[in-house]
Amino acid sequence: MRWDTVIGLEIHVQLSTVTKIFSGASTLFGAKPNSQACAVDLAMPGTLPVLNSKAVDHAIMLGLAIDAEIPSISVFERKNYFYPDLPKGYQTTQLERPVIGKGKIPIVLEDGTIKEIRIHHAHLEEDAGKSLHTGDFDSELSGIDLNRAGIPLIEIVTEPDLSSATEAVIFAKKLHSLVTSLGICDGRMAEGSLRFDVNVSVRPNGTNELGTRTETKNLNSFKFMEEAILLEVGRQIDILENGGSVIQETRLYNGETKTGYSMRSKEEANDYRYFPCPDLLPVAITASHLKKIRQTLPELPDERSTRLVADYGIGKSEANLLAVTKELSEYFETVAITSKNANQAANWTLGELMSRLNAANLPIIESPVSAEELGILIRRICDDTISGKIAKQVLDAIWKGEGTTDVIIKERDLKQLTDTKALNKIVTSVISDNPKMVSDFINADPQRRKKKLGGLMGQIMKRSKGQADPKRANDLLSHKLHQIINGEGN
Amino acid sequence: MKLKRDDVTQLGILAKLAIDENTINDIKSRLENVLELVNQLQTADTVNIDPMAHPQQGFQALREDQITEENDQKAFQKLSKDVQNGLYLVPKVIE
Repeated sequence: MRWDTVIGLEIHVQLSTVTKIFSGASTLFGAKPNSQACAVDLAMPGTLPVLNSKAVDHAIMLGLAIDAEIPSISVFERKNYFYPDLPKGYQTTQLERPVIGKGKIPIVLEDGTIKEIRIHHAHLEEDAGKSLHTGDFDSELSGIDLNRAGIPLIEIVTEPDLSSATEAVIFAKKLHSLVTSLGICDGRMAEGSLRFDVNVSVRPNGTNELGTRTETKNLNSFKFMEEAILLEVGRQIDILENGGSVIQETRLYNGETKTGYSMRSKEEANDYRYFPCPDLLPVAITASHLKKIRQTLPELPDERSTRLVADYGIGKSEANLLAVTKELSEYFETVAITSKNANQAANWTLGELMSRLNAANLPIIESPVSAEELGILIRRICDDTISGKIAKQVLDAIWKGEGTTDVIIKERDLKQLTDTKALNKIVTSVISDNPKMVSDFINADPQRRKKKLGGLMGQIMKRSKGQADPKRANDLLSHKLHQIINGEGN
Repeated sequence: MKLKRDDVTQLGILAKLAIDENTINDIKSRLENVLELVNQLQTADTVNIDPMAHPQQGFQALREDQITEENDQKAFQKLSKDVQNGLYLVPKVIE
């Protein structure tokens, strides 16, 4: 039987505020345990929360960016549960009246079609602290670090509109690009700034009724998310095809062992006893405040992509890739302007540069090759000073800090061989040294000659140490071979 | 609504309160009175009334996103029974 996959996501986005959502304690990552947990975060008696205006503004920015309803009133509620890293005994969150209502995020699928993913709602809440179950203490105990308690989060809940692990990852990357472009989240997934919970179910191909779903929590990389979904889909199909039934449960995924497991041994109906938080009044968002925030919205990835196509004439798929972050598109724009060749700028930025950055695990802003330098390098390809192949060697040298484009070309004598006399000499010697290849070319039918020509070109490039101007060498070679064919001698 | 003696005992367990056998009947009748009051409230027609978010009129005051708290960790951790390397230690609870 064929099965359809149905996926919905819940995403926790840590907001990049300086202080917590309800207290003036710092949110800086990596501080010593409990050095950033103040009386409010520790739920000391008599303390009261005061809402951080920046957290609300960040939520509004997200709401505007995803074309969502932003109600004029939203209300905080208490979600009651007992856990040691939640000192108050409840999480201050939103339920009935969240700050962001229905919205949508369009994604571009692999085949280029656009799919709109509906957002059910998004709400503001506080993060919990961290429990450490192993450490320099008795194994019967847990260590609690409350630095994270009270860090502002937006939880975004999608409708079950995603149909595969690939779509879920495309969506997750789009959301990452969106929140970092808005500047409301630093996007550092390894530090937990963006965490995904995936709800997965399967149903027989073509049917409408949803199957029983499971929720795999706390995935903090795109790779783990994809792996966890594929594993869970496979597990559910196995169960159903063997006549079993999927149990609704919360699961975890271990990215190191590549295994998933149930988090709760038996299904329990959670009763969080939500009620409006009496410590916080309703939050009002006025039309004039909305207007003010709308005016401060930065350029978003989709707008940026459209502009890159319009301003530089590059392809839509390249533009989408370059528009993912502000930093990457700014880099590209500088390369394009310096090189005066936008298509080459896009190719070199997305190809040679990105592959080196990915291999070195460096963000674009820490690129050892500046955008200006890459621009000059491309200019040297376009003005025929060097070939594309030599340019890759030069790029490696710039990357290692061995100099600038022009200095490296000069010092290493990499300038392309364009002199007709010198090229002629090489072409002639290659022809006379490779009679078999030449006769193969002559005897080949015209369609196959192109391939045979390539073999001889390879010899020319080899003999010139890659410095022969490929276009001129190719012209000379063709000319000479046709002279031979026409009996004009060599 | 009538409660059983077992209901009171169960509530005691959930609330982590030790309940003296001799007081169960008294607690039971007082809780029943509370439930009676709730029943009375349930009869009020609220169909066309918006739920009240807060008894006080007015809206939440917001604060600037500026650090106002100093690190008082030492003072707070003096209140804790068990602390190590800055962590509060508690009996292990793994869900």
